Amino acid sequence: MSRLADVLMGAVAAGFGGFLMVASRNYTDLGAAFPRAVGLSMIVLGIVLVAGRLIRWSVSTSLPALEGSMVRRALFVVIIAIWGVSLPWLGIVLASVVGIAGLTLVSNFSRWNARRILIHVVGHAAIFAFFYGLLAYGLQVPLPEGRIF
Amino acid sequence: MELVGYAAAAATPYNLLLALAGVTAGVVLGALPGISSTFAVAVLLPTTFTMEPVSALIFLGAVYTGSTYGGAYSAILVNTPGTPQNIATTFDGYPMARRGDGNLAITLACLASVVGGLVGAVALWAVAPPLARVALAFGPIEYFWLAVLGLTMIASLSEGNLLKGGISGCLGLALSLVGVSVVSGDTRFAFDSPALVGGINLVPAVIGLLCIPVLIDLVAVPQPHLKREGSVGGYRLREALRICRKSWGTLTRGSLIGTGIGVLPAAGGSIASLVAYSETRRASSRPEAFGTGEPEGVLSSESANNATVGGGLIPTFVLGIPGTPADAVILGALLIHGVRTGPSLFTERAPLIYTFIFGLLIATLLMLPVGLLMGRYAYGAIVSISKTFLVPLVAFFTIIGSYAIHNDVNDVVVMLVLGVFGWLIARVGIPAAPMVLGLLLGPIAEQGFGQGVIIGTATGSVWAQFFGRPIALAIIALIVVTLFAPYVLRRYTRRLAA
Repeated sequence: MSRLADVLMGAVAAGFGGFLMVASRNYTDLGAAFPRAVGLSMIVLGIVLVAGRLIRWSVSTSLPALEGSMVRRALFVVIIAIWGVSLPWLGIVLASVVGIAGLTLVSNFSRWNARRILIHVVGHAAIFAFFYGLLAYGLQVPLPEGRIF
Repeated sequence: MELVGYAAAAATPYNLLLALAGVTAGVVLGALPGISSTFAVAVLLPTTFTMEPVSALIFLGAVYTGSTYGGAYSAILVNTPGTPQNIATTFDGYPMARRGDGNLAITLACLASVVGGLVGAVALWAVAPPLARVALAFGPIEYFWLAVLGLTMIASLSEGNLLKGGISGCLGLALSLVGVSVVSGDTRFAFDSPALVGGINLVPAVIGLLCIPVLIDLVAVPQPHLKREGSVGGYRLREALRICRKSWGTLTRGSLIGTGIGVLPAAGGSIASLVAYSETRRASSRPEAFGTGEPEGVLSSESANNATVGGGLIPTFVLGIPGTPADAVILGALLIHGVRTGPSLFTERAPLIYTFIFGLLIATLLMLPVGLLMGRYAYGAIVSISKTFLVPLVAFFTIIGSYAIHNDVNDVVVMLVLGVFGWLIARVGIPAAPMVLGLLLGPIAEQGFGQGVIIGTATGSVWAQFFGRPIALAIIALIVVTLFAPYVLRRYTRRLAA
């Protein structure tokens, strides 16, 4: 699998390098010089990677094993996306409530009971209030205010 | 005798209190991902308006040096550099934390930061005018070659696969091309998206590439975030001091590289720590250990980034050209207090400058107890905290850290997209670190290259511009040596052994 992945990766890298070179035709000579150099480097590196793997096909390289739940990984990405994209609409407070609640559920592996729920609600509220206060009032960081709420 | 007077002026109870407050505030702010040293100094600048100029400078210098060190906490404990200066600290600091040596890594970072900070401050005191003249001799060509020297680091960040590391580095360079070119004015690879015209910002990209993959894997398994070895309360100071004593060469190298690169306007602590890390790995007898939790990696990175504090103030004071973005804020503070910078500053305003330098030295020394104490609690908190608290908290900072740069939700999207991309390429063995390096050095390399071509075309010889200047030739020689010396030495050692 890793051999095939290397070949595919090399091909994609070379293809991307080609794209950089073709796209840079639309720019001025000065603006195109660096993208061409980067594109050429990627093509060379991609071809060498593919050729090297094809020549030494029998040599296997190990890739890090994938452990854990893919569903949780996917949910994490979805929640972060919703949290980030909803900031301008929901504002920092509401978007963070949704995001923190979602991520707490996704990263939990223990059974929930009333005590744990209470600890998490109070704990998250205290942590969020502290950092919100620090950022918004202490450091005057402009945090997003919601358009809807 | 005058120096004793300056030292006494710096050590008044009021100035000591300011130095302590500045270091503490700096460490706290620097530890928060997305809050850079520049931001930390800028946000606390208004508090100095009513102070005496020297007290204001001591406070801001303490904030700057504290925040540069504080960024190491999140770099070591959650693989997210608190400030861009701490990118290289993640390479070995986080693996150390994962195997249960997080408290040792934090203590090492503290000791290295103090050593680096002291070397930078002493350089500011002893050799500021001649070093500033060297900085003036650096033109676009020299910056171009300096960036190329930095890019040779890809070899050391490639975890045993140079080709994949090279591809990752090129991807980083490609990312740096997005947006309006500073050399030609072309809008490149923006795909008609207003969000991309301004380019890919470094901070969201670094947070995405280094932190998001860790979080993605963290939520997938029930095991704790960091391995817990024995008591989490210890500093492991003796062990750290023993490592520092053994690695004094690494500390010296990192501090000198940090001071030297800090002197160069706009180069900054992130490049200094990356170059120092690379050179330490190259000089090491066991380079293969780097990236897996090698203490010398943390020492080199942290000594270099704190050395840029004093180094960066050299061109700021002598030439009025800020060495780092945070120095630009300090320069602003000087102007607000009616202090004019220039070569005569060290003679005309000697009491102010030398008292400040002593104040900076004191603040750097105060970083030792403050840093160790706060590091102990930071480590204890991160190791003990449940994942159900840690993941949402870190995620909050990745989002706010990305958003707060430009108050733009597009930066959050960039952070997430690059984070998922970083996780995916890691699955096929491509490390994300060289990509960060490419993104960081790409604009410097291109700007130097483009300006060099323009100057060369105007003067009639592009080649002479790139290969005919003494400093450029010295850097090229360094590139050749750093690229080939390890191979030559290895072959020589093998032959000797045979």
